[in-house]
Amino acid sequence: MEKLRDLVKAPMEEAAREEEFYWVWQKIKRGIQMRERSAGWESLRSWLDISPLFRRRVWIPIAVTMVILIVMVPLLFKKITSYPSPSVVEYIESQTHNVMIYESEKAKVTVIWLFEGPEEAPIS
Amino acid sequence: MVVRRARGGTHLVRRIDFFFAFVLMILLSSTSAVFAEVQTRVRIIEASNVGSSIDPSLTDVHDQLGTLFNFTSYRLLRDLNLPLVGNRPVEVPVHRGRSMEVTLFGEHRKTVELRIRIKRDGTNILDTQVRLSQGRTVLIGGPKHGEGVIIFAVSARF
Repeated sequence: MEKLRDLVKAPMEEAAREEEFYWVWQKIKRGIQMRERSAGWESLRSWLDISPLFRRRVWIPIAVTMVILIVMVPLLFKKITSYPSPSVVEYIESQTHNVMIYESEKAKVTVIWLFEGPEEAPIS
Repeated sequence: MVVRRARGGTHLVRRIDFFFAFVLMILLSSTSAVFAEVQTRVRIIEASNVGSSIDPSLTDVHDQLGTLFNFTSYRLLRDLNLPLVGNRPVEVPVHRGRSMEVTLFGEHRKTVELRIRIKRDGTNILDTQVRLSQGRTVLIGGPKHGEGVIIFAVSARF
């Protein structure tokens, strides 16, 4: 019985040693890569997929509010593009000096003058 | 069962975090786009009646102020180009506790809005907000300086 086994085993092992497994390994490798790619895609989908929340319709008003905010924020900062008044000085305050404002549209100059300031030493 | 719930909760929190981070990024990018850098020229000038020399680069200031004041001498003390970015004040020291602080707080198609503070020993002696268009100059003067007065000429280029 043992002799019979050796008779079968020896040529089988020899044939297996000579066999080219390159294409088999290539197929296995491709299969593993495809599986990895689909697993990565699945994880990306799980990150981005908010469909269960949409099914509940909870996120719809929040998303709409966010989109409106995104559109409105730059407009809020820009607020007005043209002014009805040509005035240059929007606000002025001095607790220590009397202030004069002079605006000349022709010369494109605005003068803000502080009166009765205390004496100051010159810049060296 | 409990473990599955906890996992689901964590996943939901991660999704919400991702969503709000995305929104925040868009908001930040949109605001920074609105506030581009604005080059602001600040000239610090001493005007007096001592002598009659007028700095050649100050003929425009002399022409503009000539109708209001009789200064015979205009001396340029400093000529600065300040790159202003939205809501970030830039302080220009003038002399011994005196300084000028300029802040860009609004930017429009044809104008910029500046907040200008003149300080003395940390206290505001002038607090003003002006709107400047291309080519317009704001002259802020009056504080005494030696024999004359000091004038700040502010203009923006954008």
